[in-house]
Amino acid sequence: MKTEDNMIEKVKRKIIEIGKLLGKEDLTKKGDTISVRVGDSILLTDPSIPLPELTDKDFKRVSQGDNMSPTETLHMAILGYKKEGNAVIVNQAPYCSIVTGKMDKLPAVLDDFAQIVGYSAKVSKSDNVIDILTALKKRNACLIQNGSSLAVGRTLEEAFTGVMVLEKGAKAFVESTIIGNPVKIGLMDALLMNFIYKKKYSKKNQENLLDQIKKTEE
Amino acid sequence: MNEIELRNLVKESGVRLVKEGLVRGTWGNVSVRFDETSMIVTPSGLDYLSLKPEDMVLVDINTLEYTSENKPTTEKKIHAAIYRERPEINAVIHTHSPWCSSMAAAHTEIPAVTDEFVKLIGGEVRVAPYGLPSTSKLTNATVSAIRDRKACLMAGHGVLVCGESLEEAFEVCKMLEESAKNFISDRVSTILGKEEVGLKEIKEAFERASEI
Repeated sequence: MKTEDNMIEKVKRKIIEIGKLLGKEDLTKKGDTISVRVGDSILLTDPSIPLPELTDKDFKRVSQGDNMSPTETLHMAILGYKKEGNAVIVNQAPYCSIVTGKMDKLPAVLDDFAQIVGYSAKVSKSDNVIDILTALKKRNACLIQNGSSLAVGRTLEEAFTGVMVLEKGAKAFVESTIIGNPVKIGLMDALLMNFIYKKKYSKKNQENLLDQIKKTEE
Repeated sequence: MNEIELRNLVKESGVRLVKEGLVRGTWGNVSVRFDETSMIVTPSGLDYLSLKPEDMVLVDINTLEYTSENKPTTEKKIHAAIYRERPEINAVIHTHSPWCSSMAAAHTEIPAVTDEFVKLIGGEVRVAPYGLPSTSKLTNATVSAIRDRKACLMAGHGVLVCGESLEEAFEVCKMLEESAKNFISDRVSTILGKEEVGLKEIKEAFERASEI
């Protein structure tokens, strides 16, 4: 039991850290949430607390069969659907929010987006669970028409990288459209890079990104 | 400079690029020429702030061979090709800086609009056609696009700059990012007829441009 308590505390600390980083990068607003799979349950942040202000009291552990809020149902459903995923971040980022009101998908115009997110990220037409799971089919990230974005990762670090790459890709798409010529990464190139990333890209690279952002802050 | 001093210099430049917001995570890479046949490059997949001078990799610019445990950056072919072709170049930097990335996504040149820009970079910044990372196609396209210049964009990817010194390459990075930002901001101003450009204006310009 003590081991499990220690693990929960460790997960909470990691989520608190990610919440602060999302704030530092201007990638979050009130209402955003993070969840991490813990055994058969999930540990979820309180949506009423802004992610950069999380403390270890702002978490709820939710299991199948519990009476769940819509937010809890969404996170539980995503981690039930994405068996390989262990962490979900739902956030509101400036450029992703611009895209969600105008497009039904965000195409890859940069190759790191193609590599990490895929050929495109779909925009879910609502925040309804079924619509979001449909948008996540064969993908680990999507946008939501209400202005949010969502990334699933094998680790919390990977979900965070997904959030960062989504926003970078959204900025490039928005501004290249303004210039007049967003050029999509070719489908075969995108599929190949995404396949290689899923097979080879290490957890270490994700952790490096977090370490670097933290150190820049110091 | 001796090898230890150059390793330190590469490490410090990586940190500086991160602090200036020009690179993030393990994205991007830096190298300096060591001698006529070798270069010192950043390793693959390690973040700049954690790197130690001894983590840098000494690579033969003709054979691409190296002896250290760390693997050199996957874009070592591009760095080596530039050192082989241009003896005056002593430093190469590759970044995914935010505004230049938007230009690269549009496959759009950065025009030379000031004398200072022409003096430092050599003229308009061309775009190397898209190639998959680490391929000969990307290497050849990039080396060709940067010929007679100190910078080029890499379509759908980022930006590559070079200099006679690391300091000069760094100055090129900063000027390019500023120029890309100005280019995009000017376009927003033109579309909206407004001087001030912030996120609200970018959103408005995007919505108008999407309707065309």
